Amino acid sequence: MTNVRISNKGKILLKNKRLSKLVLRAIGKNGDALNKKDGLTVVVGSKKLTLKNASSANDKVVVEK
Amino acid sequence: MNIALSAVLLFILLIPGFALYNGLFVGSFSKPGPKLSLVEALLGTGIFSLTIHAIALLVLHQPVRFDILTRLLGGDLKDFDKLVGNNEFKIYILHFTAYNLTINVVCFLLGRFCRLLIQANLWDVRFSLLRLHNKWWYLFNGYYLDELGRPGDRGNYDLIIVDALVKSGSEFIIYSGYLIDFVCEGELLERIYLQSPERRFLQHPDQEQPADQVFQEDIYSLKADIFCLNYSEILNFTIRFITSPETIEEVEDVSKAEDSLDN
Repeated sequence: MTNVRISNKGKILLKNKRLSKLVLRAIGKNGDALNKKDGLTVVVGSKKLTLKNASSANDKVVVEK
Repeated sequence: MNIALSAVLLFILLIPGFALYNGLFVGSFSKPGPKLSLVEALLGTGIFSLTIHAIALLVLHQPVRFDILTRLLGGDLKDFDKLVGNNEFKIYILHFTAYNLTINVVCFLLGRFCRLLIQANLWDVRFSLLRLHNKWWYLFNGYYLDELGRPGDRGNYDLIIVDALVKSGSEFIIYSGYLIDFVCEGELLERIYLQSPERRFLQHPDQEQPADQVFQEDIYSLKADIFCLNYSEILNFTIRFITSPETIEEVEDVSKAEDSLDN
């Protein structure tokens, strides 16, 4: 039960505590990258996750319905 | 003269106004109601309720025993038994109850319908008069980004990160974490809840450290699932609304990849 609207993608990230800590550390370390066009890339093993700041993203934000 | 009876009856007749107000404005994180005196509130709802009863009378086309109603409203029960019989009065009471129940339910549902209409058209964001929630609710759900004409859909971001500055003794501490919930009392924010909380000390201006540079060794995980931070202790805080272009499946893959790394 939360009063903050978080997408399902966000809920998946928050559910994995270690991954959420990893993402938070990456943002804390290089937060400026969030405002860049390519965003901040977090590499997890062979996979990667791109994060962008919603208020400065140049492309249209795709939002789950 | 029975004043209590007339007061109760008057209150019952004024309920439609309250029912509509409740349907429209009462909900989670609703904005505080206008500060009105009892007389102002009664007058406000009285005008609306009178209109509703007038419409109902036009629609119903049923004879109304105003003679009984006015006697009861006036609290004058003298020779009341001669005006209406016991069985007849029972029927009138049942009709009066059914009428009021229907009117009140319809007004409440009308309020709810208007609420949905306002939310669907974002009128609560555009017009302050129609604002449904308190201002913190709009802030934490990213509505201000839309107001500023920036990209993003209303209130549906992937992650919301808060960095809160707190003073502890002579030290300034920044608490960071994912905002997962908050508690308000009216328009006042009481506390926020952060997941995966981390803490770091803000460097003194004399110690040269670029603003965008954070040393990993400075960051200390609070080793807690959820951190509750009282707003009264916060000097100021920043909010970041984060989105990810990846699909849900891709994010799930990343989550699984992280799990497999640990194993």
